[in-house]
Amino acid sequence: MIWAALFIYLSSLLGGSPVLTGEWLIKDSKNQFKEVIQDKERSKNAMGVLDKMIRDAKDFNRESGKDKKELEKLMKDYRSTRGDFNQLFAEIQEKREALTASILDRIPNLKKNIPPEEWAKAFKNEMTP
Amino acid sequence: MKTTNTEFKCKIKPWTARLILLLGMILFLTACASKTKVQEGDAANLRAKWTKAVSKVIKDPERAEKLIALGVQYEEGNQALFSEIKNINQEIMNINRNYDSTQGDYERALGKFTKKKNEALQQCLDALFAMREQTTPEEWKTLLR
Repeated sequence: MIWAALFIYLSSLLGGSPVLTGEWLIKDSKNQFKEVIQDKERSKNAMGVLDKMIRDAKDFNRESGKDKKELEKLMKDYRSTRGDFNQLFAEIQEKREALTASILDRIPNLKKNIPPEEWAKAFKNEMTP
Repeated sequence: MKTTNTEFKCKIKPWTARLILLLGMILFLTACASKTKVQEGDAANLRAKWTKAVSKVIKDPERAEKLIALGVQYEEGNQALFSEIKNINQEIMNINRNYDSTQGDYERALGKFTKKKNEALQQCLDALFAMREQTTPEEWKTLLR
């Protein structure tokens, strides 16, 4: 019970925003846009950009699994120090920032293929994170 | 429509208005009271949960009590921080929804998100070390099994 209370909270703080690195991007974004993009060519291009963003996010999540194992070790080790934890958090943050930057860099390319009215339509019935 | 509204207003007698106001106040106070009861219930449940887990492992009542108090405090604090993080996520979702959002808008919100997460991480670490301090290596091992 104590393990769950400590580990679940801590490990959930290691990921990025569900909007850009998790739930929304991986699960919902392609379906949301696919439904509203009228032109086949633009749709193909937009899906290509989203595929790259999703691939990056999935790579990050895979890495994140390893980081959680490291966190688990530190938590169980009675001798671990605050410095050990902070070093791990800093490494994760660096990876998260790199991923976020790469995703943000791709957004203009995505918007090039989706005009404002289709963008608005795609988010009309979207679920909140 | 105007005439009807005026007629309607005239039909409400002062004592009826007072009664409506009184009923409204009773409903409001009842709602506040139930909320407090729920919050008290949550704290009691948390305490029961931590007591059950800790007392099996730590036989020294003083240390056990300290650990239980820290655990309850930790979970309550986390609930508040997680709710703030959820709000920032909603903000990021709104930025994402808006076609005209700039990279700067995303970066500002993500900066807030990271800041709040780091605050939460440090809070979790504070709790973890404070709890660990109340245990022996063997007890810690058993508690985190």
